[in-house]
Amino acid sequence: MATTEHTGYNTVLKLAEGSETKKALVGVTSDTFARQANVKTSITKTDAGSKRVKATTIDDTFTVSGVCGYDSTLLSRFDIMQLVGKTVAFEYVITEATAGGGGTVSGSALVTGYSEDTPADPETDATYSLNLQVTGTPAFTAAS
Amino acid sequence: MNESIGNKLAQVLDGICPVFENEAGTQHLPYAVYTLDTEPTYVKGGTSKIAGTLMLYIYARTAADALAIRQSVESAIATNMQGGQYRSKLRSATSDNDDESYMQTLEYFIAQIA
Repeated sequence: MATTEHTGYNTVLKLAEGSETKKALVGVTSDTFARQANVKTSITKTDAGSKRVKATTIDDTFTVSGVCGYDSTLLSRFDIMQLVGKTVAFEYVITEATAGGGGTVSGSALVTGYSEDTPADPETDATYSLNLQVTGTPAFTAAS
Repeated sequence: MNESIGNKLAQVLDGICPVFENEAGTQHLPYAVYTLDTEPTYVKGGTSKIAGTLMLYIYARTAADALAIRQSVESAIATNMQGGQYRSKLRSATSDNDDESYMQTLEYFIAQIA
């Protein structure tokens, strides 16, 4: 059975404050979802020279890169910059046509940072970057 | 989004002089040839922009004709391809000539916005 490669544009991060409908972010050129286990290492005499390693917690983070803009159906530039310091609900939706390929990672996240770059060069777009730290354990739901 | 810069350019320059893409379809002066070197900007949900370099080569029988056409071309592009779906910025303009014709070469930044 052949491997089905997933395409980046079929994975979309959606955010919402409170009970609002989750929306994708405007102009996203790339987003990164990173899972990092915090590891505790120990060794005792009885371990006979082999270290014990175990994961204590997992840090889940998102980084979004995009082109600044406005779209009434999306979270736009002014919406996004005002999210810093707030806890938002998120859905990270993996939409793949092939059975078994899709699914959703969901939960809540603290928006830890926003920055934008607005160069004077008329040939260059204004761009932004958004950082989120997932709070709690996200839910992983495979598409049926 | 489909790239439509070439079609728009042909429409904008219609009536100034015959315009060809990549290679001249005539030897009858005056005429212009353009080349496009563009790249799309992909965002989640589609293509947000197609942008790059437009080179316009204007060929005329006299230096004055070439300059007059260049001025008309610059004016037409500034009027019709700046704002709305298109963005343009003249980067450079140079003059040259050979035994058969006088040339004006215009280099533009060009963009088509979704």
